[in-house]
Amino acid sequence: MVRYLAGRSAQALLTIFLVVALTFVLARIAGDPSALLLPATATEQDAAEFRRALGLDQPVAVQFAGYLADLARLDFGNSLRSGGPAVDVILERMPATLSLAGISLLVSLVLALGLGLVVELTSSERLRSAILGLALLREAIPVFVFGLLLVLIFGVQLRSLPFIGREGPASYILPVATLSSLTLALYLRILRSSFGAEEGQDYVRTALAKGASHRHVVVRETLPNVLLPFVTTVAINLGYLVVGSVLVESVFSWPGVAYAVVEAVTQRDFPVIQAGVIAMAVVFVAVNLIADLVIARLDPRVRLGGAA
Amino acid sequence: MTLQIPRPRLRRARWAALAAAIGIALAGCGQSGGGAAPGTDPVVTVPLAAPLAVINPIMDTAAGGAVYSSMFQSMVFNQDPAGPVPALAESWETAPDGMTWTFHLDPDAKFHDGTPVTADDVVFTLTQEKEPANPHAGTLGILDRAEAVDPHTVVLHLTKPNSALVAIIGAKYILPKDYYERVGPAGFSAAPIGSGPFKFVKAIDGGGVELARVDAWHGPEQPLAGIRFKPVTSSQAQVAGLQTGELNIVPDLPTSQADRLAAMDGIEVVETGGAPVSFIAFDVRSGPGQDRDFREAVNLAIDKDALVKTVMQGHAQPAASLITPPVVGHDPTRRPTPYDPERAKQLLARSSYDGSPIPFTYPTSVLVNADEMAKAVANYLSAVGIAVQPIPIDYSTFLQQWAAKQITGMYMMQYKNGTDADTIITSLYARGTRVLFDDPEVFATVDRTREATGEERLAALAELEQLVLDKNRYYAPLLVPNAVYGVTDGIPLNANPFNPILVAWK
Repeated sequence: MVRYLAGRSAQALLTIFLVVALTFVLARIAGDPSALLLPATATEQDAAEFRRALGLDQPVAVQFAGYLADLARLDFGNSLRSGGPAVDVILERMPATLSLAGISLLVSLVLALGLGLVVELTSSERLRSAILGLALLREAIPVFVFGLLLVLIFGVQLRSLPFIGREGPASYILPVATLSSLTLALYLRILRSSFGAEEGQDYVRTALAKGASHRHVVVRETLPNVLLPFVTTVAINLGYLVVGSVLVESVFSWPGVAYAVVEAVTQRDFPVIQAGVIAMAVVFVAVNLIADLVIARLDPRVRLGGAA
Repeated sequence: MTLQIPRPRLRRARWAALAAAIGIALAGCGQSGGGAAPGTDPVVTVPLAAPLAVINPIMDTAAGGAVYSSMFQSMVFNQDPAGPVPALAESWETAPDGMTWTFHLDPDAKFHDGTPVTADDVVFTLTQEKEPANPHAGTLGILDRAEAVDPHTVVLHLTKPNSALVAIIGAKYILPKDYYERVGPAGFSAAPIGSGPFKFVKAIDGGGVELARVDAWHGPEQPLAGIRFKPVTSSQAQVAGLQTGELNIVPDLPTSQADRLAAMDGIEVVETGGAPVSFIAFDVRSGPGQDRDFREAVNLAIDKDALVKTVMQGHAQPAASLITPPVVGHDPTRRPTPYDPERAKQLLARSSYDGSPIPFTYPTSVLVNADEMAKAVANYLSAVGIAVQPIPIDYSTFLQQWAAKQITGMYMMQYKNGTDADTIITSLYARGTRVLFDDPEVFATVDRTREATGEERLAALAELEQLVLDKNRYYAPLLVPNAVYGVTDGIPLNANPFNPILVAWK
């Protein structure tokens, strides 16, 4: 286990390094931030002096070497806009993103497992078709369109729920509904597909032949096997929940990391872009590592770092 | 084969109870916006189109806008269309040679922590902004040094005379020297202190801020008890927030929504002549933009009155110049170029234009109704025989390319005037900035507008506009979008063409 974790950590560091390097170069290809940071009345000379003062006139390779040296001291640089530590901009926004992603995940997990089990236990084709049909419908609606619809119905027409910013528990309802409904739809289809694949297995027929109840077969025999692909999907999806919620953050003016990074890209605030990308890469890598550990715990056939 | 188990059914009563519980819970989640209890002054909620990265006028060039004008004061309040109004400075005068300006500060002015505003604070603020790494450094190129003669007198020594000095430096927000040095820029941004009528209460998640009225403020009485600035980046969310009352004042209301919202109960739409101007500029270094006949043909080919009606739904005026009506230096005798497609065709025929498609770049935001404007302009040009290739790009990229003079062919943009003509002149007419032309006569006239004062200055500005817009047609002014505000009933608003101003300044 220790060797496995060490190996995965080294892999993670390499991944993050490559992500940072690519972001560093791409951000600078996107152009010089002085035009966006200086007033419109700035002269060419003003812009040149400004770039020189910030070290932006140096070759990209020189800037990158300096950045890596700072990174080794855990110095992520200062925001070009605010002058304060770039990492602070990201850390301030993390709670909003993590809480939105976490609650959305919890809601969709509970509902997916609950509804999935209800469907399997009742064996109702009608119920199954209805739920999967709704899931498909939800997946067909782009996330920002769905969010705007919720705003129009519950925010504007009914005036029953807030839809701007993150102030109070009620402000979570619409953004969570938007995000979790999408992942719920995905999880339901994964569960149905997995249960369907297990139905014809020998161990299911054997259990039924031995007199086990349908409930026992679904919950005790089939569900643990269904959880394996389900957990894998959840793990992959969690990464996207955290880093890919920029559309939801935009619709609801949610003060999250994703939108902060988008703002930084718009402003060409390089240190904040890089700090944000590092943060998201770390989250992504960590989540996948946790997923691997959970799967190893669930499936005795899986040996971390060894053959299954 | 699976066993069939009877489906469990919830009884109707339990379903009804569940539905009622959900309904009650949702009703309790209702929204809270601004407003006021009867007999009290209102607290308003205002959207910010972009989150505040920092609350620090020394560091920030983005539109702290209404936030800064509520929290801080400059020596002069220069966003009154009637002219400069004393703020921290009670009076000011300039030496006969124009090389020094003396500002006399209000001895009663205090910062929010109770410390008096002194000349040292003014000197400190201006000195900070002159630092090479400071984004404002370029605006203070004319300032040689600032001197505190006594606690309430500041003398500004200039490198050369500039009659727009009051607009440029008089409008700098003054910060408390001792506090700023003690806490540093980051500490100041976390807990800012100014001398304006509203003081910092707390930050709102995601780059917003809550302000409260200062008791016994040294300036005019304020009608608002507090202001909450919330980041709401989506214009649809802003409009929705106005409808529900979650937002009380929405500046830059989309023109397509203005009439609908004005017809709704509880909402007032307030409109005033605007400060921004949209225009077309030409790459005069190469291609057909080098030809004056071509440039004039473009000017004549576009029906601005029709653009006002169709693209802007009536919420704009045709532009006669780039210096718009509320700006000091505007020439009220100028008239928009008339729509004359026949004359445009004649000029085009004798120009060097060969009919090839011309790149036509424009930003997809900031320019009001950008895509509709671009399509309409392209159609008008096509009707006289000018083929354009529209290139929409995001505003940040456009700004970078514009600043680096990388845009070829033609471009369309919207520029927000400052309160004095010198702002737009510096950006679009003066040597060394973003101008693509190299015209010594224009540059010499720019210098004269800065050296002259009073009527002589106005005459020089009029002559400059004639040179740039009439004689050379370097730019084709299009429209002046109105400043359109959506306001919930009962909320006082000074509809201002430059920025939403939530404070009473006189």
